[in-house]
Amino acid sequence: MKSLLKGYGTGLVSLFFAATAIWAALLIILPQVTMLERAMTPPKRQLDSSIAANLERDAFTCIGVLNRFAADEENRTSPAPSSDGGVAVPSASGMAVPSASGMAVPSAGGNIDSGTTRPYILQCDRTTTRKQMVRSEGSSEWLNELYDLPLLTVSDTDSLEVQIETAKKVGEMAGVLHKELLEREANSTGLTLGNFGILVEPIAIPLSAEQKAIEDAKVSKWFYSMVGLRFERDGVVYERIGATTLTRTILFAIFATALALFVCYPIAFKLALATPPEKAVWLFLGLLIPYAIVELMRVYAWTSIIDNQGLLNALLDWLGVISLEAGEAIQFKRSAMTVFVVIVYTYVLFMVFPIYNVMSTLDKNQIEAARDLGANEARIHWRIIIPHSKPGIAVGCIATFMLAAGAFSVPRIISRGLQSEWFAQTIYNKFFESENSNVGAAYSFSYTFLCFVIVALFMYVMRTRLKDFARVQS
Amino acid sequence: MTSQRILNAYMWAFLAFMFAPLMLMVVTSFNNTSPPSVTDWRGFTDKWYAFFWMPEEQIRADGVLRALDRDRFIACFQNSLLVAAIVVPLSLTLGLSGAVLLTRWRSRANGILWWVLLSPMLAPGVVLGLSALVFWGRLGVNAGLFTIIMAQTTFVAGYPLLILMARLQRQPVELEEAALDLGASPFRVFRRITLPFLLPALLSAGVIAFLASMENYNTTMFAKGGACTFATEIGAMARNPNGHPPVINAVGTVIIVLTVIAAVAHTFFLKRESR
Repeated sequence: MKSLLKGYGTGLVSLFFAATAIWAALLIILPQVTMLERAMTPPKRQLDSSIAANLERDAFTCIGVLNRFAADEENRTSPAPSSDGGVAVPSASGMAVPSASGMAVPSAGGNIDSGTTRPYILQCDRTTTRKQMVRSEGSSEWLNELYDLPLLTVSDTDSLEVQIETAKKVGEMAGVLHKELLEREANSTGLTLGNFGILVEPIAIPLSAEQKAIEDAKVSKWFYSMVGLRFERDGVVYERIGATTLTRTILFAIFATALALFVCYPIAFKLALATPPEKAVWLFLGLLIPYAIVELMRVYAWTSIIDNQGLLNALLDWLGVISLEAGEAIQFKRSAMTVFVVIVYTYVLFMVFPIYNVMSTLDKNQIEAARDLGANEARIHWRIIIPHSKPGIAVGCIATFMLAAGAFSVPRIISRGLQSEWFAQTIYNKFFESENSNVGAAYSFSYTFLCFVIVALFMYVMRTRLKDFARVQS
Repeated sequence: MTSQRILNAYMWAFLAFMFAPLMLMVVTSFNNTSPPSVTDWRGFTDKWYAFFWMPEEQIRADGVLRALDRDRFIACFQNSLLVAAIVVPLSLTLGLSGAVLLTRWRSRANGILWWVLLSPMLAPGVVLGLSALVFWGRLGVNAGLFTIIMAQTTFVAGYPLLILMARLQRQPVELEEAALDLGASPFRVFRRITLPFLLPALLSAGVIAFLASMENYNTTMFAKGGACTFATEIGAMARNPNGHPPVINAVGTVIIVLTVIAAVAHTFFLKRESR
């Protein structure tokens, strides 16, 4: 601290500290904390108080509609039906006149079944103290039992006055309960792990017998069964869909990383050690160009290859494997394998440069010495080059893994936004397109956590430190 | 020598793999058919490029271009420039501060600071965007350009951090010490010695930060709310089961050409400097 102050002065040092603190707190730590909080917040609609509030609202709507219906009824019955001599003029109320209330009644004078005193009114049907509470699957609780309310229902066989009276009672009770529950909920922390539970929740998959046979034969399905992500109960197949997608994404990312390492090591070696410097410049240029081109464009470039009318299908057609005219085009864009290949293509160069940066610092004399002492090529690689470039390999692997695991653009563009095979897409759908965005937050948090665990584990095994990241960049 | 030859062949194959899709992209951008195709050649056209300057009537007369919103496209591009104009200086400031603290601050907290500042680079981009959205939403800021800027800065600042740190580690401390001994104020030393020494690194970090901000899709998609940027707008055009309009390929071709020119210039510059 002293040397820092002496070197830069109080003003600059406090500026540095302030900027770094803002970065760390406002941009990195607090957002993640908020995310965790959001992930542990139950969605609003699930709260008991909102159910009570809905009940109150339904009751009042019901009363309003019933009152209007009763008034209409009186108007219709008291002045005798029009007496203009037999011509069948449809009475005004007989037509489907949209009622003024606009909400619930399909037609004011609508078809009333025998035995009932009012037309179908959704809100009145919902005005009952026997409300099911939103609980996790399997258990069911009811509002009247849970909070000791009398069982009241607006029955459509009662007279209108009784119905209105009952609805009033229910509405009042619900109103009182709503206030009470709001207070109670405000005082409790209200955090839950339920959103995380949805990640591993098993969901029944409806399958016909033939489909099931096909599915059972797949290696991936066998794997999921082995690790408990897929199971059968009473002849119904269940899958923990969220966790399955997560596992698949992580596995694909690991495969992609391994493949990228395998593909890139010779390239990095060629660039760093096996090319004379004046040629290496041009090779470097050849790798830099695709690396620097906007990521989205590299993905889009593949669409004309894998489209139904694309290069690959045309090639297969020309070879006579398929017939495009007969509509036998292979749907490459729907296949996870294509997404995998494009991910490798898009992120492979993030492996080359870190390895190259470290490898090029190797003293070539070491290789010469080893060769003179009789080591063969494989041994030179194994004992000299790979140990030396290990930090670069580790950093390259981590970079590629994170990019592949977090891939969002590739599956979205390749599959034309149709599929959510990749976990990043699942998060997007859960957060923006489902009714409970808190589940999306939980998914996202678990995802970050899992990726960090994997990276930390990998760094521990490879004995990499974070400082290597800075070294490799230069 | 055969191993050399195999390595050479492998290298060419790899380069071909990297460049072939890009070449196809250039070819399709001149083909008069939509969705872009290389197998179905309908004649040479430049209308996918001309789309950006052709008069309105001509656009309305064309079956494919009619469906596109040019003004929106241009507005989104301007948004991107605006975002980058804020993200770049912001992340240079943050990156420089972080780099100075990480290299010069001897403290126990240093190790933790390493983890905290580098964690955004290790986190999936989608998560950064989503957490910025949630956090600022909690503070009452609606999703839009502001959340995009915040989300991007979170990880873009990491590039200047790493680049400047590498440069700072190589800086001779003696110069600064001599200046201080001669009575210069610390601020003057920083302005006259440290900053000029860091200038090349700051420039390249700035370029990288600019490119990272412009091309970012994953993070921006989650933080954007109703706003749009160049990348999200281009990405949005993929959401069409019948294929995207070749205008994208035209834009891609322009980007490819610009990248090639910049990379070649960069290489020549390096060669001249090393001589």
